[in-house]
Order: sequence, then structure tokens, then C-alpha cells
Amino acid sequence: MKTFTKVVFLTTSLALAACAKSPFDRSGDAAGAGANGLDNGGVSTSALSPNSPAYFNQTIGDKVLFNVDQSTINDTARATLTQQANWLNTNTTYNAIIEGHADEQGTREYNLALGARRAAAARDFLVANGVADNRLRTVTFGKERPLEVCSTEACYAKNRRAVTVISAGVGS
Amino acid sequence: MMKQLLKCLSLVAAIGFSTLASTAPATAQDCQEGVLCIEMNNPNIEPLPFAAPAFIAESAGADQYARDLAAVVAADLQGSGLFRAISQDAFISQITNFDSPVQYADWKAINAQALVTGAVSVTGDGQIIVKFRLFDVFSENQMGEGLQFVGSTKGWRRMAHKVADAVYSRITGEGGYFDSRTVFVSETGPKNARLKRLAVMDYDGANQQFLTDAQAIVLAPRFSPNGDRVLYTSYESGFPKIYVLDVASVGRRVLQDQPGTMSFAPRFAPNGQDVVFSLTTGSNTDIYKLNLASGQRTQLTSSPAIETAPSYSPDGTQIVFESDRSGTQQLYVMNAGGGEATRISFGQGRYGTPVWSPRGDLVAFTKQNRGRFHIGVMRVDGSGERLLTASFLDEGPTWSPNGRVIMFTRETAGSGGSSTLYSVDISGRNLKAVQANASDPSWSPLLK
Amino acid sequence: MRMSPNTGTYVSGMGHAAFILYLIVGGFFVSRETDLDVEVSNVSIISGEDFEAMQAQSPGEPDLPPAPVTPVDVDQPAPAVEPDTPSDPPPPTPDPIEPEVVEPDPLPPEPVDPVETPPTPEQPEAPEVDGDPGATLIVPNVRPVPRPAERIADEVVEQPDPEVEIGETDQDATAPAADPTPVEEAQEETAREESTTQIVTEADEPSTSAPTKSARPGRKPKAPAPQVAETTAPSLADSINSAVAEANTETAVSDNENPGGGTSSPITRQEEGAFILGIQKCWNVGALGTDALAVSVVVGFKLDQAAKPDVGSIKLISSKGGSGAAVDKAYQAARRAIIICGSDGYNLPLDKYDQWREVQVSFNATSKEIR
Repeated sequence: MKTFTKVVFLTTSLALAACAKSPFDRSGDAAGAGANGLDNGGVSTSALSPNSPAYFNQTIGDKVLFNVDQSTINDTARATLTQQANWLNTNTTYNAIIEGHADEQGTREYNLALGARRAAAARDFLVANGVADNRLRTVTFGKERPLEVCSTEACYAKNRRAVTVISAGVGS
Repeated sequence: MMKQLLKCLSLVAAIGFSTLASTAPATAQDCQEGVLCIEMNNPNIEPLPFAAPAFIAESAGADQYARDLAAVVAADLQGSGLFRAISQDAFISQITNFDSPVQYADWKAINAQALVTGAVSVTGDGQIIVKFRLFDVFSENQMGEGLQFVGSTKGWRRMAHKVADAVYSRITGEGGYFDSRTVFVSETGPKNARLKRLAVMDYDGANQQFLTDAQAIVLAPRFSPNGDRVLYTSYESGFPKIYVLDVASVGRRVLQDQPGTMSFAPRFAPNGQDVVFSLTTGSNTDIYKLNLASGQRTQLTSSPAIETAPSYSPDGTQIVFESDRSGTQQLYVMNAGGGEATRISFGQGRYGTPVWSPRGDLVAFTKQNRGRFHIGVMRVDGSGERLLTASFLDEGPTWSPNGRVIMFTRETAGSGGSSTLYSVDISGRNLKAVQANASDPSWSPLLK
Repeated sequence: MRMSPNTGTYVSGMGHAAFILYLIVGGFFVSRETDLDVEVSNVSIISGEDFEAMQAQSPGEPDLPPAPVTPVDVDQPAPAVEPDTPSDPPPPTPDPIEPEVVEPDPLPPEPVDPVETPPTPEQPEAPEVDGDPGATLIVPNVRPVPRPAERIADEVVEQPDPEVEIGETDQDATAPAADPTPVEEAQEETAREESTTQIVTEADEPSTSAPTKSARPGRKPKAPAPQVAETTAPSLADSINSAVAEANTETAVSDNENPGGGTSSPITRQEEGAFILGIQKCWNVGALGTDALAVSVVVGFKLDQAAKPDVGSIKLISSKGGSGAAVDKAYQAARRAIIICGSDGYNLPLDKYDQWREVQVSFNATSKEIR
């Protein structure tokens, strides 16, 4: 019974987090850009606590990219995901939803399935690196939420992604 | 000079040819002595010119309807691409009485090959009565019986569509499609934060109304076989789930929630009771069937590949769907109960979103090849592939109730890209925009 | 998110229970009147004589009262009409009570001049809702152009509309390619093909910004095998040569025999060709359904000495490739062609009247078949 309550709670909170954040989450990217260049709004990068979600998003990187029509984890993605796994293993009070996305060069339904594949690939990698799978959930957005809006490969490359969205978990 | 000669020669050649060709079949059928037998096999394909003068207002308050009804009838017919409305300005005679004999000569003179006459009256209780007749001008015959429609004045457009459907059907020999609706996704906002709402409209864009708000992303609505319900995918819960919505009440419910899974690409079976859809578990997407009455779910495919976009044959015995089990998206047909599937698409490129035609003979699809998208059709065995469109991004065909027209989404490129509904005749002619800022159309059956 | 099987079942069970409960309580699928129901019934037609008779009887009122629709009609063999009793609907559904119209928010009941709204193709900021934005009316073409009575033969190819993309050459020849894909190329074919300008109703085609290619495949994107033979034409040069040769001999022959008066000489190929073209000009299958396009019909008729068809003599002799309505519509298109183009008389030599007083024409549109 205890597990059940927990699951329900978890699911609910994840769902809420998803509603509140994921589909329209642009803040992470903006902040990320700022962190690489000048400090934004006087918040210096050094102020980021390694245990904060902001650190996860900006320093580790919350997204990994994929090749056209692929869902395999490449070397760059592997490095990012390894750090993501470490962070999650350290900060066990957080959970994550992994969003899978596709570029616009595909039909709607297929891209949904493809996004799901990408999210699952990232999730599987995290689980293989020690993250408890009940802390992770996947969702696909297909081509519905591109990060970049141009219609060239430069943008497509950034849109073929899996994004790990940190949310407050249980027991915090 | 030389050119002239050549032209002349080729003409002669053409004639020589057709007669040569004709001798075989034409004489094969008994051509009696003294009868000149000829064969023709090169018809013109042009819209048929017709006249639809303003209907006769037969009661007070019907004048506006009289004009509008004729205009909508004309718009329907002309919009099909098979007919051409002759401008009222060209009319020599006017119809002043619904029952007067037709002055055929006046209509022949302007080459009106068909003539639609009508009359309308309104009653005190908001009823409207619409009558019409169709004439074959050059044969000087009435085509079919005159018909009368009675309904509410609010539904006057539907009556115009019904008149147009009758005219269409009497001349083409196939059913009409004007008295129908389309459910689609209405879109606003920038590409990366687009707001989407379900909406319905008459097939021609009139009488629009929203079915959902813009709170959650909604995708790919599909009408039930009798048009009373709509299946669609929504992110209302944060995850893609299938919902079913009652068109009249706009009430909705989630189809079947499976924790940890995502579902999308739903479509009704012709019986209106079964629903096929895609369910994603982990990285794998398969096709399932759900019986609405019993809630019983059956898995129809089980390969580790992506299987999605299922669509029933009109008799309900087979399902066409897309799968990348071969490495790329291709079309397959399987029995409605699942099991082994036969691949039907073999051309270059990728094929997706197959939709079985209401006549059962064709499958419409989206094809992606060399960086462009096409809407195409092929026979259900995969033969006779024809591409009807080409653009940066065309997808998601839906059939008109009579299987003659396909509506689909066309999206333009770039940061300002937007979606528009287009329709095209299955001959590839008459491509036209239907509705801006809209995607994922699903055409209803003919309304009852 | 893996849950123990038990939990899963539990959750699922709850879900199902809730669902079933909802079905029971919610009465979700209570069927409801959709939209406006429309009743249909037949309207009888009356003959001109009847009409005049009626007019005579009611001298005071030229406008007929609603009743007259009923009258005894001579023309229509007992159509079981009765417009007065509203419901005797052939197809549609009755339902006297006008149900609630489903038009919650935007409801544009006022007939707002639908004709005005042209398609407005690509304009993205078209009004979202309401009114009838999409009313796809294309303003009627103002070119009623009464059909010229006579046309010269080689006019079979007209100038396409300026707006229409014009193929540089007759691209008919593209048809043969065996693979399905090449159709894309064939699409460039455009207007040229049939020689008639109206074919390409996409003249109003939205010149959408993005798609640079017109998304219009030619009219026969993929030629079925037999057609290939026809279109690829075994080398045009050959055919021209042979045809020319033929024509030469022919004219020679016919010139010689022309004087022959009474027992007329056979009709020459040229004469026959001119006759064929004469009818063909008016043979339009553009408004036929796909089934009717697959039908070929043989139509017989008589011509008077002015080479005008006796309309009453036109009859369907045989048909192939379809049934019922399809045959009928194919026949009607053929019949219209014979009547329309024959109204001023066909171009046939009077001295050979006995050779063409009776004609059988086989109309075979199957090369234009859509599927």
C-alpha cells in the first residue's frame, strides 16, 4: 500500500511538473546561453550550487542530440548522460521526466514514436548508470515543440533531442 | 512555313492514328453495312459549364436565402473542379417562376450545359423549404426528379449543400460530398510554442466552432463513422493520451489510461465500436485495438519497430498502417485481427499516414522523398502509385465521403512557417487552400 | 516507471472501474440529434402545356401558389410526389422538429453573402472562426464563351491560361517511366496536355510561398502500360511519315472518285478524321465520376442531310466496363457531345450522305481514367 501511495504521488507530481514546465520550457536554454557568456542578471556561474537543478541544466547540460531518424546515444550524448546520472545519483530527492523530440522532417505520428524512442534511449542509459527507474519517466513531443524554428539542418540538429527535465521528487 | 507544314503533318498523323487504332475495336463490334462507325478515345477534361440562377423566393423574407442558396450551390459545384459556374451577368433569360418551362435556347446560347433552378420559402416557425430541379440544357431534359428539402433556417447552408450533392451525383454518377464537415486542429502562435485547439467546420470552412480550449496540445482528430464522436490525442495530462469527444455535447473522456505508456494515432473501425491506435511502452510503439463497449484491448502488432497510423478498410476486415520494421517507414496491410502483414509500398523514399479510401480501392499516404513531401494514392495492393502534390511539407491525408477528394495539411518552411488545409482531386487537379492556420483534417461522412 | 505487477493491476483496475462507472453514469454516448435535420421530398415537374393551362386558369395570379407543385404531371411517370405533405422523403431523414443547432459560440446564422469570400489561399492570418471564412467560392469565371460552331482542326491545342505553368513541350511523353516515383517530374507537365485551358482549374492555384513546384501532377501521372504505347507513340517521325503517305494516296483516290455522284465513294480518312474531331471538340468527361470514366460506350444516331444529328435517334448501343449510373453518365456525356457539336451540322460531304446518314460512335475515355 505504501508503494502504491508513493507511486500515485510520484505520478501526480510528475504530471504536474510536466504540465507546468516541460512543453514550454525555454528558461533553461536562455540561462544556459547566459552562463557560457556573460553573467546574466548578476548571477555568476560560481553561485550555482552543484546540487541545484540550475547546475544540472546549465553546467551538465539537460539535453542530448541525435542523428537523423536515430535514437542511438552517441559519444557526446554519452558524456552528458553520464554526468546526468551522477547528478541524479547524488541528488536523490529529485526525479526527472525525459522528453523526446524530433525535427519537423517527418510525419506527425512517426515523430511521436521516434521521440519516444529517443527519450527511452536516454532513460535506459541513466538507469544503466544507476538511476532508479522509478524516478524517471519519459514523454514524447514528436515535432510539436521544436527548440529552433528555422527549416535547415542547423536547426533540425538541435531539435532532434532528449531533454532531461528535473522535478522535485519524493522525500524532499 | 516549315512549321506550318509540320503542324499540318502531325495533325494528319494524329488523325490517321486514331482511325487506325479505331478500326480494331470499333469494327470488332458489329458495324452494319451502311453505318459509319468511328471511335473516339481522346476526350476533353474540362469543368462542365453550368448556370445556377438565383433561386425563386416564394415567400416573404426568403429573398436573401434565394440568392445565397444559389451562390452556395454554385460554389460547391465549382469548388469541386468538375464544374464551372457561368456568371450571372451572362444570363440571357432569368428564372422568374420555379415551374415555368425552361427557355433552353437562352441557356444553350451561353453554353450552360446544366441548369439548376430552385425556389425557397420560409415559414413562420423558422422552417425553410428549398426546392430544386436540374436540367440537361442541350438534351432539353430534366435530369432526375425535382427535390424538396425542409429544415431550419439556420441550416440553410446544409440545404444548399444537399442540392449541390444531388446535382453533382446526377451528372458525375458518383456520390457527392458537400454536405459534410471537417474536424481539424486550429493553430495559433509561433512554431515553438504553438497553441492548438480542436475545431470543426463545414467542409468548405463555414460554421466553425471550437471543441477544446488551447490549454494542451491536441493532435490528429478523427471522426467516428457516423460523425457523432471524435478521437484525438491530447497532452492534457502532460503525456500524449487518446481522448474521445462527443461532438454534440463537447464532452470528452480519456480513452484508456495506461500508466507509464503513451498513446496516439487513434482511428475508429467502421463499426464505430472498435478503436485502433498506437501505444508506446518504453522505446517500442505497437498497434492495439480497443473495444469501446467491453474495454477489452488486443495487441495487433508486436515487432520491436515503430508501428503506427493504422486505418481500417471500409469493410473492417483489414488494417493498413506504417512501420519502420524494414529500416524505413513503409506501408503494410494486415488482417483486422492482427498477424502477419504484407508490405505494399516499394517506391523510393518513406511512406506514412496511410488512409484507406471510403470506396475501398485506394490508400492515400504521405510520401517523403529527397527532401520533399507528397500526398499520393496507390491501390491497396501497392500498385498504381500516383503522387498528387509536392511541397516542403505535406502530410496527413483524409478522404472526402465519396472518395474523390483528399484534404491534407501543408506546412510552410522557416521560422514563420504555418499550416494550411488544402484539398486536391484524386486526379491531382484542383489543388486549393481550404483553411489557414489549421492542420490534421479529418473529413466526416455525408451528414444525414 | 516500473511498478510491481500488483500495483499495476490495481491501478489499471481502478482505471477501468472508473471508466465503466463513467460510461454508466455519464451517459456519454447518449445519441443526440446532430445538427439540423433536413427533410427531402420530390418536386414534380410539369410540362409546358400544363403550365400554360394553369396560367390560363388562374389568370389573376401569375405566381403560383405553393400548391401547384403538386399538379398532375404528365412528364414524370408517377413520381409519387406530393410536395405539400412535407415528409415523403426519398433519401434523407425526416424529423419534423428542428433540433438544436450545434452552434454554441460562433453562430453566423445570418446568411452572409457567401459568394464574396474568395478562397484566400495562403494568407495565414485569415479570420479564424466564424462567418464563413473558408467559403471556397471561386468567383465564377467570366468567360462563358459560347462554343464556336466550327473550329479548325489544329486548334485542338489552345493557349493555356497565362497564369498556368506552361510546359515547354508536350510532356505527354514523360508518362512511360516505369517507376512510381518519377511522377514528380510528370507533375511539371501542367496545363499543356489536353489543349484545353480550363482543365487546369488550379489556375486559381495558391502560389504559396514555400512550395515552388506546383503540386499538380499531370493529368495522367502514371500511364498504365497500355497507355504508354499510345503516348510514347512509336516515334513520331515514323507515324507522321506513314500518315502522310496514307493521306497522299487517299486524297488522290478520293479526288478521282469524287465525281461518282449516286453510289458514293467511301468516306476518306480525312473526312472521317474531320468528323471525329468535330464531335471530339464537345466530348468532355471532366464532370464524370471515376467509375463513369472507366466505361466505354457505343452510341448510335442518325444525321439529316445537313449533317445535324436527329436528337431523338441518339441511343446507347452498348457499353463496356461499368454498370448502372456509371454507364448512364458516360452515355450522357457522349450524347451531349453529339448534340452540342452537331447543332450546326457536322462537316461531312453531302454526296456521300448514304455513307453517313447513320453513325455509330465508340466513346472510350478509359485513357483518362483517374486510377
